[in-house]
Amino acid sequence: MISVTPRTLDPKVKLDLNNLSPEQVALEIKNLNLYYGEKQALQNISMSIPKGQVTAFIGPSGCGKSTLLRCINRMNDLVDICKIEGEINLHGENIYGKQVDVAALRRQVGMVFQRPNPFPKSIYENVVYGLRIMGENNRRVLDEAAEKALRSAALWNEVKDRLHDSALGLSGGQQQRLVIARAIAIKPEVLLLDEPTSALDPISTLTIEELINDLKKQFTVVIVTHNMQQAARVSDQTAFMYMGDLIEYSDTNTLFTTPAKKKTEDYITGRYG
Amino acid sequence: MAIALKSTGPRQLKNTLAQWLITVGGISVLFTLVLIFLYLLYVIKPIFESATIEPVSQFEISTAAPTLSTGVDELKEVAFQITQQGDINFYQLVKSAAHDKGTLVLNEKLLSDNRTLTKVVHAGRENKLLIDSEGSVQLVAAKFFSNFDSGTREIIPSVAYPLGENSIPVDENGENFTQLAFSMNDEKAVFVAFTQDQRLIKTSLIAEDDFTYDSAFEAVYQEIDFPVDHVNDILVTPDMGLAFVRSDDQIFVFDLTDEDDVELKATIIPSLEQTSTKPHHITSMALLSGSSSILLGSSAGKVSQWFEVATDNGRQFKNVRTFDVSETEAITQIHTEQFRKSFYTLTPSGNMGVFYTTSEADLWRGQLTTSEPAVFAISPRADGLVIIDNKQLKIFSVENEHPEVTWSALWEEVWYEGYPEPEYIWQSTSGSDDFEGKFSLVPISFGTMKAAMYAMLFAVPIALSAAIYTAYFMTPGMRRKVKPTIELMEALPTVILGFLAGLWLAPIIENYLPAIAMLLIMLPLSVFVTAFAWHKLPKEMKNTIPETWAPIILVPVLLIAGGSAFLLSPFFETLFFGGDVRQFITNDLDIDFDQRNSLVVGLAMGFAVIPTIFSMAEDAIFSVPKHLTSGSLALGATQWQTLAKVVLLTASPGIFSAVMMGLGRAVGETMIVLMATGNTPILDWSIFQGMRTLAANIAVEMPESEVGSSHYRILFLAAFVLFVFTFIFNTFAELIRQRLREKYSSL
Repeated sequence: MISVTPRTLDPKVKLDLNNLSPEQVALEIKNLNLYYGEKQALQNISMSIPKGQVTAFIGPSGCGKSTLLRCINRMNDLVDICKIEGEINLHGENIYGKQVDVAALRRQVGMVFQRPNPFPKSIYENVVYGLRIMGENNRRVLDEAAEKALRSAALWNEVKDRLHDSALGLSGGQQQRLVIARAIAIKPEVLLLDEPTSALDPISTLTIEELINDLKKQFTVVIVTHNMQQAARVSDQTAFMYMGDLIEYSDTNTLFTTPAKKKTEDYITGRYG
Repeated sequence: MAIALKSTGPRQLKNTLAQWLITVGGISVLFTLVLIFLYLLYVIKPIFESATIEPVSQFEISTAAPTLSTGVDELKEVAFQITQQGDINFYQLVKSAAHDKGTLVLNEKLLSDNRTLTKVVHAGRENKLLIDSEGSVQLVAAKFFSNFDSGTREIIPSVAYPLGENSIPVDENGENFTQLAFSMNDEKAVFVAFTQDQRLIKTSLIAEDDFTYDSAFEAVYQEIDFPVDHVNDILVTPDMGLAFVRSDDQIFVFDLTDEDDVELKATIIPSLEQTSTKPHHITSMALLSGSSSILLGSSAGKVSQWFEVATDNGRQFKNVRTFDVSETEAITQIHTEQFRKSFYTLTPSGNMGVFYTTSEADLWRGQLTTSEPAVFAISPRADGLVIIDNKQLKIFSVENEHPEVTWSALWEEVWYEGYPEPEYIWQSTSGSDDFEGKFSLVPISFGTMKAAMYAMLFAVPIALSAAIYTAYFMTPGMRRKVKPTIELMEALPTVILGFLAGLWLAPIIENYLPAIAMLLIMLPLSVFVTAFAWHKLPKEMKNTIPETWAPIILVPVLLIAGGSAFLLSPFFETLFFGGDVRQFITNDLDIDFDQRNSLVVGLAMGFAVIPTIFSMAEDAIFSVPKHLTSGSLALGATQWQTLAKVVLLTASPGIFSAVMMGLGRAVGETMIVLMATGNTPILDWSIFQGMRTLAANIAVEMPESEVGSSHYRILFLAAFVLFVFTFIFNTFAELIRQRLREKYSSL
């Protein structure tokens, strides 16, 4: 067994994932099936993601963890051949309901991608992008929001003197934190991180991981990661997925130390993946 | 065994060969470009050169009597002098088989008895009018023939008497003259003279048959009512239409066209700057070639050009331009070239100036003789000068090929003879002999810009929206079909587009103008209405058509909208425009209307440019990384916001290049503008007027221009300007593109 040092969890936060009270639930996924054309990519997933915690999705490549994450802010809508059944409830409202404004949903469920993707604009404009598209043009409001978001993303001290330089001049790690700042500037409830450190060097990775720890004070964080140590380090809950199935979902400590399922154990001990 | 660090054998050979071939190819392309550039410059260079005057030869002539007049043959091989004694002497100027340089080739006595000549008047071409001490007048012509008997060319001079060898009875009273002017053609000769008893007379000699082979004539005498006591100068235009009579500082212009009544047409009173110490006067007068302008030289050292200009009060002589020839000296002689509008000025100290009127070119200044030469002649081809000064006959060669072209004549307004005001005109040829080429590059450069602008106005919105739709909204399957189809349009030969535009589209547009105007409104409107209807359609109905093919329903809608615009066109025409839009535009709106106008060119050339812009812009938009659009969408941006704020921004370098490439194509395009514009070089932004572009102008006029002429070289200059245009456009576009790319290129 590889040595993992799970984060010691505050006992207060230890939750019964199967019986969360409505106040504790950020997202509720119910019987979610997803098809890419003929191929079924997610099979009947049901889970509740608790508020104010970090939930990690792990699993081997192609297991559907990123697909599931993208379902939460309907990024899969962009894929033509994708068909979705089931529900994902945010505030008890199905995000796949007919009346849902996708843009409004995405403002509540922000997302950060695998590769840092700052826009070819200045650092400042990147951060306030989400506010601007909502029609906010008051300079003072934007300035405040930008500073707050950059501070939250632990980037403020590094960029405060060059806010109006191109964002493309930042290093990869800085860019990823900028993207996080951009996502949190619009104050979403849930922040989805899709392998946020896979393109980064170890030091940048560490910075981001520390950041994630801070972020959960304000947001519900869902992270997809390929890296089990990372899941173990940053998350409170971990879901292990395999071939489109949710195999096991429990608090991180339990999942990594005493996995309930054989497949989970095989995966975390490195037998496949 | 050592490791082989060098590649050996065939591989090495191929490597080296490829490297050399590519290097040679690349360098030769650059070399060819530079060569084209240099060749253009080489052809253009002479038009911007000033005149040069070089002494060729000089020798002493041994006649005792003073020379009154001189002249030279076309090839500058034989010159002549007319002396006060009435001798005409021909001298060999270059050594020939029969004669040495400086030999007296022919001597003829022009006067019968012991009279002397008082005056020789240059009377156009080779004609000289001789006035002797008794007041009798005779017209002689120095003729030159080429003879090749000895194997080389020999110029044989002779003297002819076009109006007969007898003295011409110019005044019926037989008075002597103080001034005399003359002009003739085959049927008629006109004298205007001021006699010693102070009468201004006009005498017309009407040929009984034709002066070229029969000198018999009938004389008609007239006296002009003109109360002045002296006359300084008289000039008669070669067409015998006007006489200019100068009495001190006033010039009286008489209309000679009416055979029975000579009328005073105008009086020119030039304003001369007067200083208290030195009152200035008119000191010389000359007719410019083409006989529309007169030149007045003043004691203030200025030469002013005057011609008739249409004004509100009818036609008036106006001082069109003035040349500052000398600061200190008077202009005592003005000599004009026979065919061009150049003139030579002489001052008492022998300072000479060469000028060209229309281009206001100051071509040459210098001193050929130490004092004012008494006898001065310009060779018939204007490539040489003959001066007889102190018994020295001096020949000069003049290199002055393109005096009419100057930078300002090409790019600034020029006041041409007969025009009411300075204008930009391109009119290179005409049927008339004394036509002056008008070479302003402004109208044709403007035409190039105008054609390109209208084409871009049509092409850019369509091409860019098509590119955005195809790259950003269209499904991959449909995109794979649509993109190559539009790109295929580029392969359509432009000659076909031009042909269709000129012969098919232009008449349609003319007949259905209201339809074209309605299309502008109906097409976008029908698209919006359809989109709205589609949006409101129940889902069940929408699902019957696969979403990717939904845009297809626009095709019948657009066809119906277009068709109904054309169907309704005649109805609108009767309802609002009295049945004929074209007449309405020309008569009621007072706008000129050409059938082949900018609208036609805009459509046809726009059509040619669309594939270029579309293809490049589509590539640029399509290659915007998906993670950028996802990033924007994930922040709650709509598709449109993402498009406007991220996609177009990131693709902007590529889109900009696409538009510039389209502009470059539109500027250089030849066939379409040649066939669909009417090629009228006018300066007018009107959409109902045609234009002539640089490229079309070269194509139209190159076959008819004489090699080496100013026209020919200016066409090369037009090509060079086009070259520079595209060069500047492309460089500028590339610079901006680089900057945009630096700023907006993504990962």
